[in-house]
Amino acid sequence: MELTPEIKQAALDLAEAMKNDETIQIYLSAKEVVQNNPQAAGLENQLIELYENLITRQQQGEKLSEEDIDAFNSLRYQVRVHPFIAQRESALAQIKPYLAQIADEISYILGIDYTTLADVRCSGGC
Amino acid sequence: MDGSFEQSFAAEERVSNVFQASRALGEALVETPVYQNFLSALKAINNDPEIQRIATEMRSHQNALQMGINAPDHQAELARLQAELEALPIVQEYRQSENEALAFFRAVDDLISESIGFAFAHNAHRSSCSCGA
Repeated sequence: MELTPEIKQAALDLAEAMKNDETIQIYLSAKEVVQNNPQAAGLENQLIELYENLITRQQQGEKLSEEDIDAFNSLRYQVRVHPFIAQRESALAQIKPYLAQIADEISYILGIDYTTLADVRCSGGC
Repeated sequence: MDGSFEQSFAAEERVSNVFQASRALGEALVETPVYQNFLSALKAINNDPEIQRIATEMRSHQNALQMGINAPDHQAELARLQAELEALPIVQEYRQSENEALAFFRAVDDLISESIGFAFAHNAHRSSCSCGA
């Protein structure tokens, strides 16, 4: 959907303010560490590829073997315990209440919860 | 001037900028025709007596289902009432404006999320959605 220049500017101003915010920068830095670490980034990419591969095979009617499931769970565990990834996830968990407060400011003016309207993974229709 | 005071003042300024920016976005969003149409449609369905009647009937069947009374009959009646509800022109108008509002807010959030590098609304959600997302 095409947004008006005014809305685009207001959205980008908020994004810019968030990027400059010290609390949010803690998470952004932790995220950058993962992106710049070949081992951590590689593990995450492997997990995504494996997940997509398993889903595709399952959708094509294949019954996944125990080895497939074990391989996925093992890789998922490695991702979860990787120190840089764990640090990033912890930083994200820490900033979530702050992000909620930021969204609350929008919701207060709208009179309706902004995140319910805007979160593609959880809309008002569910 | 004390350095720690300056640092603290600067931090407060940044925080207020984030909140100022979110309020400014809220003020821009609330004025848009797509949001105003959605609010009007929402108000209309909330004040419609026919919808209130169907909703009341639906609640009684849901209560019966929760108590485990004659489940197939109540389920069938619930499905019939839901279809009756969805067929009302006022509900169809509401669905149309809801879909437009959702597409609009998702486009706004996509823009913010792309710029900051993570999904804003999804991570700002206070609680898990009933859909499990």
